[in-house]
Amino acid sequence: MAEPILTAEGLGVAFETPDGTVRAVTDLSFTLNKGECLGIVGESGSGKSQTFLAALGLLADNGTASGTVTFQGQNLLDLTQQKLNTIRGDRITMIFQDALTGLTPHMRMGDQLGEVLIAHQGLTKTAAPQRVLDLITRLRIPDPEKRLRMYPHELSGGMRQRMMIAMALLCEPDILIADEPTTALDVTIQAQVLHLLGGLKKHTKTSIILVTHDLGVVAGLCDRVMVMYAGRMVEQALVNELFYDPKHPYTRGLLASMPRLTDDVGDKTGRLSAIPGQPPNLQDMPGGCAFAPRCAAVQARCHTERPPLTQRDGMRRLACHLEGAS
Amino acid sequence: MTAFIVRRLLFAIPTLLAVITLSFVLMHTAPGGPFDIDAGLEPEILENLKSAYNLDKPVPVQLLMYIGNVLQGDLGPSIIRKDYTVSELLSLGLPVSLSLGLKALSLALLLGGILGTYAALHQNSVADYAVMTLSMSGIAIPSFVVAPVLTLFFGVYLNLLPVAGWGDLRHQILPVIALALPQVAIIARLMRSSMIEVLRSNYIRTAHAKGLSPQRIVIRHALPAAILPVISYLGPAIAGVITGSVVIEQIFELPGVGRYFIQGAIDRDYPLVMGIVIFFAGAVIVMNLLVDILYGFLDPKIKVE
Ligand SMILES: Nc1ncnc2c1ncn2[C@@H]1O[C@H](COP(=O)(O)OP(=O)(O)OP(=O)(O)O)[C@@H](O)[C@H]1O
Ligand SMILES: [Mg+2]
Repeated sequence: MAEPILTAEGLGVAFETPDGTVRAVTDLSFTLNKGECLGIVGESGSGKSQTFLAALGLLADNGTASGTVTFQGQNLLDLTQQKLNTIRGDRITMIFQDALTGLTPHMRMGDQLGEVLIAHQGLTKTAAPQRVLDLITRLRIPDPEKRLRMYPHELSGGMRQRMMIAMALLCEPDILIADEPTTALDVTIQAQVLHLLGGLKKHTKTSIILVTHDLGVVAGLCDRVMVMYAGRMVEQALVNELFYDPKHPYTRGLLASMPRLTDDVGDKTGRLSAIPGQPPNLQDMPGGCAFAPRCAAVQARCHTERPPLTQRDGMRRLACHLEGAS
Repeated sequence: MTAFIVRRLLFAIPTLLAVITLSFVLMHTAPGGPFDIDAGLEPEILENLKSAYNLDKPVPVQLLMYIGNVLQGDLGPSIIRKDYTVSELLSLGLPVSLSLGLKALSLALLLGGILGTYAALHQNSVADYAVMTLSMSGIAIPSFVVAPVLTLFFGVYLNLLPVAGWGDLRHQILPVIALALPQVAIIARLMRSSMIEVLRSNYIRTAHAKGLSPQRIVIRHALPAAILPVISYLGPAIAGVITGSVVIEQIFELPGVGRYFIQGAIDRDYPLVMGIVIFFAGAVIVMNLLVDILYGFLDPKIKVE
């Protein structure tokens, strides 16, 4: 079952800025298995998006990636743009955080979807629209013919996001990376989009990486979760293990800040607790554990010695000095 | 759409009236008159001549009479070129100026667009700096300097092209280049900066993530958005080409509308100058309207109505 399809080793992402080097991702190693849904959580700025942009060669001009990201025996970071173009959009697809600005404003939806099939499956200009229509209809997007003739600004936010997802599914990819696919949407539309992803997981062989702030979404869809803090992995476990027995103080903080119906995690007043403080400045990171300044259970050595990421019981990996104590 | 065009044309009327009034008053306050060259004319004959062209009346009265004629489509006779009406002179000069102006504008769009796009795609490369430096000089050096230099080099030293006059296409090469250069420079800069901005946008990243070829991304996804500021600039560009043509036609001795304008101004041929002013103003107004309609086609978010 656990056959890896994507493996990152020692992945780093650095940006050169006028104020110095920003290390958005540092020494990150993880695997995605075939048919699995891997959740990535962490606060804003923890490097979730840059990790996957780097894998697909989509970093901003001032960014460089180091390490390896292996897919089908080749290191994606070494590939030329031309080689990458045979993989991205076809075998690995990505849905972006911002569906509102992520679609080309002056192209009709049908053309934006169709060109993917033309690029990767050699379909002709006349054959592509029918295939696009088939998929859109299967995704139960109402009034598909009309929608495909529209420009992005004529569609609602939710509809745009579903078009994005459709675009990513056209070639039946091996891996779908969904970067906060529901963040900008209202709750009912969120549910529709999640339903779509859930169906995808159930009915296809596509492996999914789901980047999100929303731990509820992770609980519903994912098999495994990776928690990132300041560009590093701090904890990783199966969904159940992580939810019922979070080990890293940061993971606990994230869970405590999550609203629940049967609230037994928030503080005694029943209010949600936010993790106090701010994530560290990525330009000059503290020497020890990056979370130490905000950690409730901090020890002296946390400030000087970075806890290594180690394998724990079961599937868990953890980077914390404390563990063992709890 | 029709309503939009009609509304815009109605708005053009006060603009045109203001242009007419301003130029009319300015021209008549300038010293001198159309009959100064015929010095030694009998005073009575001079009076007769003046009254024949209504020049003996106060300027406001002349203005009102002139506007009345214009509203009836009559631009009047030329005072100096007595055998021609102003409309006839305009239609003589128009083919020359139009062919010159359209060629210069097309060249500016094409060359400026290509140079700007190329510079944006190779940002901070030697080619980028070269394009930007050339463009800076193109903006800074006026066409009345560029034109003689071009003539000297290609016409006199290399003896490749005719230096003046109107005839076959070869006569047009130097004037068109001289007329286009400042616009090439401005459009290249505009194109470069808007292309750089578009290339950074989210939808271009999406296009890359789809695995599309770089050519397709630039042509289909980036260019239609990046060209919009250039289209907006077309209005001023057209005005610039018209202004430029007045100078260039003079330098290259081309029988265009601009040349008649200069001649008319020197001769104080009031009806001729006024007719050309109205024609130029109308051309700028109509071209701006066309540009706005074109803009609506390129940007689906803007509905022309
Ligand atoms: N072009 C860039 N130049 C400099 N820094 C950058 C650049 N792009 C991203 N960063 C920085 O990299 C860090 C990680 O960004 P990333 O987009 O991966 O965060 P994220 O975890 O996806 O956050 P969010 O949940 O807000 O999407 C951020 O601190 C960001 O400021
Ligand atoms: Mg992100």
